[in-house]
Amino acid sequence: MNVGPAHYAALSAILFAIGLFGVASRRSTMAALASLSVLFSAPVVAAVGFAESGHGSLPRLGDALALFTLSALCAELVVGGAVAALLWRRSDTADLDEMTEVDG
Amino acid sequence: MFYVLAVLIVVAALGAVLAPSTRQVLMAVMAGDILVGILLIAAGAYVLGVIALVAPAGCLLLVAVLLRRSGYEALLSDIPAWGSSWPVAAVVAGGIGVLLLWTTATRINDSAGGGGQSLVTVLHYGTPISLGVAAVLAVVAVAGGLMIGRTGDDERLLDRAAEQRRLREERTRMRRQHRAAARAQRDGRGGAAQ
Repeated sequence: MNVGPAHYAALSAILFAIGLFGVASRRSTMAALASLSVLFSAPVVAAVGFAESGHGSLPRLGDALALFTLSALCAELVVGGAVAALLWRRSDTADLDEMTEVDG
Repeated sequence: MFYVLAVLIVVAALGAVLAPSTRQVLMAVMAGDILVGILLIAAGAYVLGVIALVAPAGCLLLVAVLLRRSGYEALLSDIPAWGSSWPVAAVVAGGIGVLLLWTTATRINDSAGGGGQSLVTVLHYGTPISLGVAAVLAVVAVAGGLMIGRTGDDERLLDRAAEQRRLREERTRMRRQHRAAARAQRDGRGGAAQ
């Protein structure tokens, strides 16, 4: 059975849903960041899958898009880790439910 | 090959979300990143696959090491319980996942996409400005992360003072408990003798 863009899209959708569930449900700051990393890998898989499934008529722009997504993911991990450290200094907890200082 | 990798990636993602310990979560995320990198290489995106193998896992490890070395170990400690709103999160995530699946299953045109030129060629000739923006973003993110998470000398002094105060209070509490226990024991012995 040939692997087409739909297969990559399905895998991407599953990864996105799993990551979204983790971000919304985990209480630990680091676990939420890790779930965000799972969420970010979804568009990477989709973009590369679409680029791979083409017929060679266009440049692999999907790969470039995936590279930019990866750089955004790395930036998010570094800045997210730093913000988590800052919030922990202020509230003395790594539990997102207890970080009431940032409530709106 | 795709199906095996896809199953392993989903299992790693589930591990990253469901694992009770932060150490297990980080291990699952790194495993997932490596598997995604292998999938990208299998899909023909060799350069991107290598970057995906190294970059996200490296960033996560760097953050964990910096947190551990800068006195933020508590951030890496285990918080096993789920948030109170996890059923809502599960419903929303499942709904969006089904929506994405449905949309892609019904709207995907198999002739979309492209192949041919290498990633380096595309980046150099097709998207040089975006590449520059991505590079600047990465540098600014690292610099910003280090600036946000840095600790000054005064903060370190305050942290040390707070730690010493906590230890003093802990010792006082323990002494009080021992004294109370000894008194209760003495009273009990006195009562039995009478």
